[in-house]
Amino acid sequence: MTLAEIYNDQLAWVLQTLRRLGVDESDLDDAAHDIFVVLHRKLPGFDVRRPLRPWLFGIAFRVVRDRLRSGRVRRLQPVPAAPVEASFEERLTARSQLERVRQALATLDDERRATFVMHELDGFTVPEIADVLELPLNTLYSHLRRARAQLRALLVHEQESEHGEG
Amino acid sequence: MAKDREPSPEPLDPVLADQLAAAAVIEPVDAGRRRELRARLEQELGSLEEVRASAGPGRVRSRAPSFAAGVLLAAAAAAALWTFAGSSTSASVPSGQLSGADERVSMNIGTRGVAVAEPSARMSWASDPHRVRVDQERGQVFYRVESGAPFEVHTPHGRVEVQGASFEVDVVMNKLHRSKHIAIGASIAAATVVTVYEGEALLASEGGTEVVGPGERAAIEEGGAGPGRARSRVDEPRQRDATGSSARPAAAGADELAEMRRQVRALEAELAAAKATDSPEADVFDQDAFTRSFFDPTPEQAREAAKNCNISYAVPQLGSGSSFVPDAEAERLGLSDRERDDLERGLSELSAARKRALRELYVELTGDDTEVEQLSEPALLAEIRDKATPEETTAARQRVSQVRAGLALASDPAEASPMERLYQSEVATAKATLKLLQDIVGEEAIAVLGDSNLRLMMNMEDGCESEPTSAESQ
Repeated sequence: MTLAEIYNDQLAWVLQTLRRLGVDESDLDDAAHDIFVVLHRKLPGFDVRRPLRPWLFGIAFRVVRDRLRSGRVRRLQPVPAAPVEASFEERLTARSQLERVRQALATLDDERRATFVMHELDGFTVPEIADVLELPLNTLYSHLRRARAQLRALLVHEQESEHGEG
Repeated sequence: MAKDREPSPEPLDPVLADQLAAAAVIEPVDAGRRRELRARLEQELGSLEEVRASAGPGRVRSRAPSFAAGVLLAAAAAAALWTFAGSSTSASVPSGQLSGADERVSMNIGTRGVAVAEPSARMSWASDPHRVRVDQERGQVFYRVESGAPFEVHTPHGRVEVQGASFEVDVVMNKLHRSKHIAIGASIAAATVVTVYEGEALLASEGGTEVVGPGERAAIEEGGAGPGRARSRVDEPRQRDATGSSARPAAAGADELAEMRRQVRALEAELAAAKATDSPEADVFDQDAFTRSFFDPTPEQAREAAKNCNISYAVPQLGSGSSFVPDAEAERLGLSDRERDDLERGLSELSAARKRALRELYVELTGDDTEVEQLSEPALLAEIRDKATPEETTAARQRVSQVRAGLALASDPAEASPMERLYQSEVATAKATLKLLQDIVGEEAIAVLGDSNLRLMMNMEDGCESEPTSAESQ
């Protein structure tokens, strides 16, 4: 497995992960560049029998955290995403929904957001996340539970309120 | 739903899952941006082709680039298999079980099969010269089976049968994240996802049969329409996309919608109960209160739990670990050597007593004491549960939750059902576990437990209505 193969196969996922972690669209390329630079250094020590994405996520998480702390990237400014073949109305709906999700994710703290994204959106197991984030399992369960509650309050209750008012 | 579960794998709220669907889609990268980023990297790093992972076998490339992720897993798993098969421990194993290992585990199954189970997979198997039967309760397992007599993998949703194939079976229990397999962010109630790498597999369920060929993936989904009968169906095989995902028919069936609505109602009730239970401040999650509810709930917690026939408990269970108090955990807790020894011994004794109780129940129910010593705690639990009807289980949960809340007296042990005695035993062990921690760690025990890596098995079941067992749903 070469860095080029990882780049080809995973670039879209890396960019998506960065968005989910709260990186503004205008900073995506710089952050992705940093991730692949770190990969360049670490790849020779990577055991290909291990799953790639959790490991890659760990690198992305640390790159984003460092960049956010140093102020080198801005927090989320959501961008639209809808398949080009979608109708205008469908694209509007998708945009609205995606913005809501990204903004809701941005309200979570870094560890909780990473835990939620890894488990619920990327499908990593909790032990895999524990390995990547170096956190106790029960802390992760707690992060998940709190993240779910917070997102539900933001995404579901808000929408229900809107519908109720409408 | 009344099922075993770890603290996190509660089903994700289907409404929230629906909201998150947009974020589950991986947006494509246009070619210009891809080239530009690569050029910038190569300017700084040199050729990306020259940097390579050094350990383990290289990746197997598929004809379809989109197949790569799945094949990587296959290659990794196969490497583990051959290493294992070539070792001195590769003798055939006619029967056995695996329950929630912490790491990937490779094992021989019968004389023709090898399995690589991902962490948390739960399975058991039995074989004779004419047939191999694996019961995979949950998790992800890769199998390589040499040609010969039927090799069957039974899951809660159906059966997978091969005569010689490499394939993977993933038993999914209501997780949004399984969208990588099936849907674009949609929630599914539960499913068995089968991916075939070599050979063919026959998928069978109540809804029909389907032959799945190499490079194809299919799912047997549970589409239960409420607490009555659950219905299963076999979907059309699907081709993977770039992430190993597969497309799912856009329209959700009426059964699935009904199931999702039912789950929403259940989750809303659960959320309301959790808010009332966890904290006087409704929207603030109280970790300590949550932890306490598993060991020794407060009267208020117990009363709330009884309303929903909730039984939550955490008990010492070593699993594949070698110590109840790992080094890092002892250090984190700041335990002296003596305190650590005391805690280790205390948890070991509680665990041993629990196992004895489970064995006694098992022998009482099955009349079979020949293999009881070989069965793990999860296997014993599963066997005991299998012997109870859903109504007995629900009644036991109701009774014990009421006893825990002081709303009813404990039944006479001579008259209590096995499930009632099981729950009584488990909650008593949980309470004793907390007492042990408090004796050693002090009043900080609850806070310590909240973030602990002690070897504890946590379980939460609820629901005052009986649901069909997985066996009945097939």
